[in-house]
Amino acid sequence: MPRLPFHLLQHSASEHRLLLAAGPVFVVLDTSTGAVVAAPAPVGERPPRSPSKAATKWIPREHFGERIRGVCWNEATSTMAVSTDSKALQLWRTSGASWELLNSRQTIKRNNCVVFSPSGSDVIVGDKFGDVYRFPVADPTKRAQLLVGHVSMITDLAWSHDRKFIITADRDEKIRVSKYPNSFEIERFCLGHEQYVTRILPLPNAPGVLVSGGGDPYLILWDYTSGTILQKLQVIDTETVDIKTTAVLSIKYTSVSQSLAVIFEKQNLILIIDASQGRSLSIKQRLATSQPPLDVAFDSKGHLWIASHAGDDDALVELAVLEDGAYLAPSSSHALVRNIAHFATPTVDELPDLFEMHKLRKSSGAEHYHEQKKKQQKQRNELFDSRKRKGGAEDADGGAKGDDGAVGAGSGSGAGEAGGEQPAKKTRRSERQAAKKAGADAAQQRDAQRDDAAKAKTEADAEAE
Amino acid sequence: MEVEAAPQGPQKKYYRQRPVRPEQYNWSKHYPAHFNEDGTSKDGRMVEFADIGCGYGGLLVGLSPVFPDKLMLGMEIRLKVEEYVEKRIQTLRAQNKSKGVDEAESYQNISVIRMNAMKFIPNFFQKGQLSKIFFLFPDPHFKKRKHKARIVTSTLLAEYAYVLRPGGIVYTVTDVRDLHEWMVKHLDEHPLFERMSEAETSMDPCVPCVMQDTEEGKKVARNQGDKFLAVYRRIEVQEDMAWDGFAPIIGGEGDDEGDDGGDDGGDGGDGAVAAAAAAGDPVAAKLLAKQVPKRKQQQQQQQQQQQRQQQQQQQRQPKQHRQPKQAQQQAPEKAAGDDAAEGPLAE
Repeated sequence: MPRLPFHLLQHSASEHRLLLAAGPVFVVLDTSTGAVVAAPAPVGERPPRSPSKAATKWIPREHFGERIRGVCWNEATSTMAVSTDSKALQLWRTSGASWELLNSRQTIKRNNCVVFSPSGSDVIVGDKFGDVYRFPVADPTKRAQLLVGHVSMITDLAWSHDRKFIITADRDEKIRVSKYPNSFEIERFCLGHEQYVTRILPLPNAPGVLVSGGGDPYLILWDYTSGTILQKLQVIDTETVDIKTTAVLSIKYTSVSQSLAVIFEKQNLILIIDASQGRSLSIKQRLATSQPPLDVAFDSKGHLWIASHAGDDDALVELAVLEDGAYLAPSSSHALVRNIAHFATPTVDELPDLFEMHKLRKSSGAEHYHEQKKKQQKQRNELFDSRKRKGGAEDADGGAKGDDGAVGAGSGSGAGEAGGEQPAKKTRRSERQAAKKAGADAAQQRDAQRDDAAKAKTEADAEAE
Repeated sequence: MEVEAAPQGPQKKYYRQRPVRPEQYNWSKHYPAHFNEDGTSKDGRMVEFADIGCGYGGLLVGLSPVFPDKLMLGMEIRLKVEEYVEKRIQTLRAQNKSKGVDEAESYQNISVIRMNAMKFIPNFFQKGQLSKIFFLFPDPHFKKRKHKARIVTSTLLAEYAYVLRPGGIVYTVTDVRDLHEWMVKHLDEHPLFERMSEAETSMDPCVPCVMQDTEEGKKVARNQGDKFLAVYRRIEVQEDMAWDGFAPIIGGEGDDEGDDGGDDGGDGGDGAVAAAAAAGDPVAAKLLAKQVPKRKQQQQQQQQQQQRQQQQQQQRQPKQHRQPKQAQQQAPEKAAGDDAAEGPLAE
């Protein structure tokens, strides 16, 4: 059975702690020593008490549900928020010797991203329905407060530098800057992406500047206070890479080398981008990886931790060490990753698809949807055919006539003329059919419309009688 | 291994109508009297009124002579209906060629665009560009699950407030009491909107237009139905105003279906085209009206009955699964009734 790779990495901003999520479980690592701080309790046996693992907190398995989607640290309050596929929002206490689940609640829809409010007293989630809700950390029974709503799914959330604005990104190319806490007032839209946005990251070293990426082959650097584009940085070579199969998967920043690390779905590549100028970016380094990375995270020393989509014998985690301002090739032999590289993550019957971002693209990503629609249409046609055979004789003449009209309707022109030849109500029905099947292949479409038109004709005849 | 290159289909990016940013949009094809062909303005005017879901364009045509110096844009998601309004405006312009650009009834100040206003309003208008927004007889979306799709919601109001300048006005009219109460509730709850008193609205020259000029409004009047008006002003609020968030629109107990609903957004375009076809092509609808006047009358009677039932049902029980079906049945009649009644395309 294949084992799950780590799909999500989140490093604490002020502590040497890295959370690695693999499916429903997470492991916390001390990135200064490489020791495991917290991990799921081993199944069916008492936790080992060897001195090397004495510091590890074993987390009862019953606390883990479905796949983890979002993670956020709050060092000031020693809290951590985790959201999962099953709409659960868990809050963990991470201080001192204990590592306990504070509370857990259900959110309204599935979440894509989670952040803490500036004070740390609330947790804010963005969901697949395009809404952003606020929940108080302490009270899991209190009703959610709706802060912001987009018309398409929220893909990422971030705070402005002064924390007076909440920034949200969606699948409809938009980045929205709303006031906080009075988020009913939109300050600005950052418009410039031509595809869905997957990641936004305010540059910590440049107030008012935000970097964003998604289904476009470029990153955009914004002045989000005015909504102006400072720079579009080409990061995907569309000559060699099919843009439809990839997307920006993660953008992380380190203040040590003032760099960004950017990874893309299904690409064996990590881009290191120089962000030291603040208002302009330049590609500094291209790190090749043996497996496509699923997520990356910088530790406090600027080293880059890489979670790979690894096979069963490969290392799950690699480390690219920062040396003299440049990154060495990723390696799993470093002492810091020894404990985690071959960690026993949960095994599953079938590995889920961990590259889901590129499916947000509207033209190509909806393939499965169109296939489903086609199938339904086919079934409907078959049913109709069988009924029609029972119903009576076909009129070849009427069929041909109806065909012309229906095709005209399908292409969005000339429907008016068609309406002149036949009773309008019938035309409308075939039009509806045609519009529904815009995605279906032409031959099938024509067949169906001939059927429809034939029925229309027979009905018209019946009426005349 | 050689792979045979698949024939490449048309690429969406070359057919995209909406601009990425509002300043990129060329308005000259909409208002040739006010914009040069390169998209620069002749007189510095921008679109100021937006009629969201303009339908067959009755409000635009009625309002045009009242504010001859304001540019107005109707937004309609149904392709065929948009096409109709476009032709209607072209005809009116051609019939009134002798009038000056700013003269009443030149109809140079109105236009229509096919778009999804819920999604792409900020792509067309800059912050504070609009002074009036109209929501006249919007889709009631009776099902509770569909309430989020209503055109006026607390979260969408943030977007309307963004494109409206402070002091700008939102007009809502509907014949569905439930929807009226919904819109009033959400507008009341939104800190950036304030309801205008009846004394104020009675002086407003737009009010008679929004009540009487739309095709839907005329239909309701014919059927002696109620019309509910609510007018709100966009205001500014203190920075430090205390605010606790909106009440969730969806959710609550038992609302568990459609977890992947976020994906629905992707197909708004296709759905809209289907809706356009379903609503009916005006020419065809007109023919239907000519050929079967009896049926039309019957339908009207049926519809009145339905409306009465509807109201009764609303009062009696919250279970409303039958109502959307009725709304669908009404749709073709709407096309037939309106087009037979008027329109420049009438021969």
